[in-house]
Amino acid sequence: MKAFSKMLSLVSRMSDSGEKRSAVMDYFRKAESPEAAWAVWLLSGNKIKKWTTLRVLQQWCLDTTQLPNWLFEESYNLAGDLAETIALIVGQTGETDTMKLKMLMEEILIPFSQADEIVKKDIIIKTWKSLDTDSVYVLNKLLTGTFKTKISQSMLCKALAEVGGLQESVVMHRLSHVFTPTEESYNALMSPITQENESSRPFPFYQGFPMDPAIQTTDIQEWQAEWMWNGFRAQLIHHAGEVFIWSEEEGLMVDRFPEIEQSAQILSEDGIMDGVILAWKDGKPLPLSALQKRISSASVSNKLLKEFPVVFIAFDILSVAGSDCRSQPLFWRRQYLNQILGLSGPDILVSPVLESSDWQQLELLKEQAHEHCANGIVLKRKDSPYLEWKQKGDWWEWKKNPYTVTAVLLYAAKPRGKHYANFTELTFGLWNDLELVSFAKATSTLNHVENAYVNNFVRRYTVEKTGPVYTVEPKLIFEIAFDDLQPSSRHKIGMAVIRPRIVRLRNDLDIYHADEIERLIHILKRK
Amino acid sequence: MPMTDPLSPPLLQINENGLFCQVGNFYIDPWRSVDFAVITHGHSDHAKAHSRAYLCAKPSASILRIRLGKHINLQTLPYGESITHNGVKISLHPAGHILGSAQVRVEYKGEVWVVTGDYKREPDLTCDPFEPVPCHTLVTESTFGLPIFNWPNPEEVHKDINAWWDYNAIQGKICILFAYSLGKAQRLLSQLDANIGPIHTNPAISAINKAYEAEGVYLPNLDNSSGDARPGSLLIVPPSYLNSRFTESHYINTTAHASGWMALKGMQIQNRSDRGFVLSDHADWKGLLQTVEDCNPEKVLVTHGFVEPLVKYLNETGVQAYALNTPYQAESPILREQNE
Ligand SMILES: [Zn+2]
Ligand SMILES: [Zn+2]
Repeated sequence: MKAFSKMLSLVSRMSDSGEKRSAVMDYFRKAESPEAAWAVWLLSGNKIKKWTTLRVLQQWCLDTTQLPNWLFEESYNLAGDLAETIALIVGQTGETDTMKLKMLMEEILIPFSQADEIVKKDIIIKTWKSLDTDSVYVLNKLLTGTFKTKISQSMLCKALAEVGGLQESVVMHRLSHVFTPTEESYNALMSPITQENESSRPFPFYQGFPMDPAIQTTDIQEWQAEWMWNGFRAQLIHHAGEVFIWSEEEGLMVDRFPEIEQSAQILSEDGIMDGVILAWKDGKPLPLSALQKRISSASVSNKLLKEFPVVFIAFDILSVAGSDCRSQPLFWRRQYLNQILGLSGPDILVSPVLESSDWQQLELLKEQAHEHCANGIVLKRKDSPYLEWKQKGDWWEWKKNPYTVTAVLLYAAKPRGKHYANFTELTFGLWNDLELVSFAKATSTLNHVENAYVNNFVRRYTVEKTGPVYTVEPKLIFEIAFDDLQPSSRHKIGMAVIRPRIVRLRNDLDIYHADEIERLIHILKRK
Repeated sequence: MPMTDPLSPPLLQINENGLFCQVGNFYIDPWRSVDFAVITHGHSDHAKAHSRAYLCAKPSASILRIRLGKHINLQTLPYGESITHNGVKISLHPAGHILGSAQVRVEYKGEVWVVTGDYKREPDLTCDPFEPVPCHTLVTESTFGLPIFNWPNPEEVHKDINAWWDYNAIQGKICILFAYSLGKAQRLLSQLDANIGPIHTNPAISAINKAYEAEGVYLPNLDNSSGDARPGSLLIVPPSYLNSRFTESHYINTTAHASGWMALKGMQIQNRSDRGFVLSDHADWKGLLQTVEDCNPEKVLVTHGFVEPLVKYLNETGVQAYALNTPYQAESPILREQNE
């Protein structure tokens, strides 16, 4: 367990994904199969039943160490994380950590999850004393249902594939079925013998690049323009009468989109299509949040199917009747796509081509992207092949300009656990009649000179401090950009601001230059 | 038990120059220039220039001369031996913090005070191990005076550091390890596996290495060739080199900090190096409490660090304790350690 926890702790502070992957690989290379099986199970997002809360664990920690609560709180204030604080206090620092992950899961966490509070407390205090700090941290996270890692499913698959000498898609395919955390399952997962039904795999997803302004000097007729859909990129595979949906992010998704699978069943030919999954109702796309709600639930209920139906919007075809057609020019593939999809069910659509005679007209169209739940326009060269991943070339993503408003700083805070950091958690307000109301919170991306300015401002103009939040005199003006607005009953102003961020400090303006809430309402209505 | 006159001032007390012994007319680690300064060790928050006379432990002498100037008026004392200064008996005892670091034992009319200076209880190949000295009043540091600080076995940490270097050397990277030039750098050097690759340091560290080697501390050979470090090398430099042109110029590199603060995940992220090794030259929570127990004092004065929590905790557990405030108190303990 020590090796597993140490790997997680290392990965949690690495930023380079290559380095993270090699740490994961390093772990699996050295781990014994029964341990590795549980590691795969946990890293695939499986969860045990929640035992208790962090505050209860805190109490158990105080009971076993006899430390006063004030001293615990003082420590927590510095560390900034409750699970970590407990781990640092009770974790062993010697080489006593001999607990196996398998033993922890099979002999403690699963059998005793229904036990009485008293029994649980005894077991956990005993277990704590046999673990080092990293492992206590992992245990605390597992117990409280807050176990999360920075290892994505696709990184896990890549790492396992490399360790086992397998194709990444084979590992993905095998992991997409229910994985039982046993030695046998792990050995099967890593088995070099490939089965026939593992052959229906996606191609690498081609990625667009941010728009290069030079493109606007070329002939617009060379380009095919489409909406840059704000959905889930996926490949739809129809192979020997079976349908597979591979998401770029999540890998193979089984039984998540029955309506798309049904529509694809009736295709007459085998093929692989590239496109996006969108929530779609009454002939119109629904916002991304609808799709997220649909995906976040573990099983697809009838209610969910009715409330958030989905479609597959195809924009390319990569294989026809078993043969790779990626080297054919886009206009050829597009024709073929139209043909083949003419015969599918209602829940597969073709991404429409946006016609415009010049760049100016297209740019105007681009600014309406949000009305179509899109982030902008994608331009694809009509005579281009479908390129391999990471090659810069014929696809350009032309994003809609963000919305901007002028807003007033209302509250500032430091990130929790970083007492010597800058005030980077900033909340901004807009006018509503004669009152400033908060509308968005953003993390500062200012440079260190501007941050110092904000720090000084906050120190000087704080009128009240509640917990970590400093209320300041409304004086300091910022330009704020955001991607979109969504109606929301959870927010005071009746809408959620999507991806708000600071553009710049406007110390040339005073508060009467700040915008009114009215402006947001207007943007929301236009959609 | 000595009879202390309640009307006479305490044996040691803070005045505008530092921790002062009135009957003996001397200071311990004063922050201004004074007539006679007893110095616990060479870190800049303890050893200040321009005093007229200094006393330190014998192994600390060449370090003080590097730090404070060649021509200071310096008297040295082997560990455990004593002198009498204006009727006050002074002796120095190993603190285990860095080479030559000393606890100052002060005795007058049977009353004994011990000022620990900075100390740690873990073994360190580069200095004599800490020795608890029984006393009536203990003045202790508290840099890591919270129960979340519990050091891992340093042997394990040194193994981790060598493994990290070895792994990155195979990847063709240059490893940059940030460490204070006095103490931490030499402690790290003494445990590096020189078979992995060439080791470099900056000139400030090399100068102090010489002082260590002169005292018989074994340090591995350094690569002093000019020109850029080869892939597979390890460079030890002070933390101030982080984000400087220096780290940028070694572009295929990986960085790490070695410090007690690395025990906190948040602190590691703030430091922006790739790895953090938990290795401290200060006592951890258990080390602080152990020391109070071992010295068995009637009274504890707490300074340098998380003073309030340690004072309150000691009082709650039946040990009479007070805060001893110095100018270093105002700064955050985190910034202060980084200044050393
Ligand atoms: Zn020191
Ligand atoms: Zn110090």
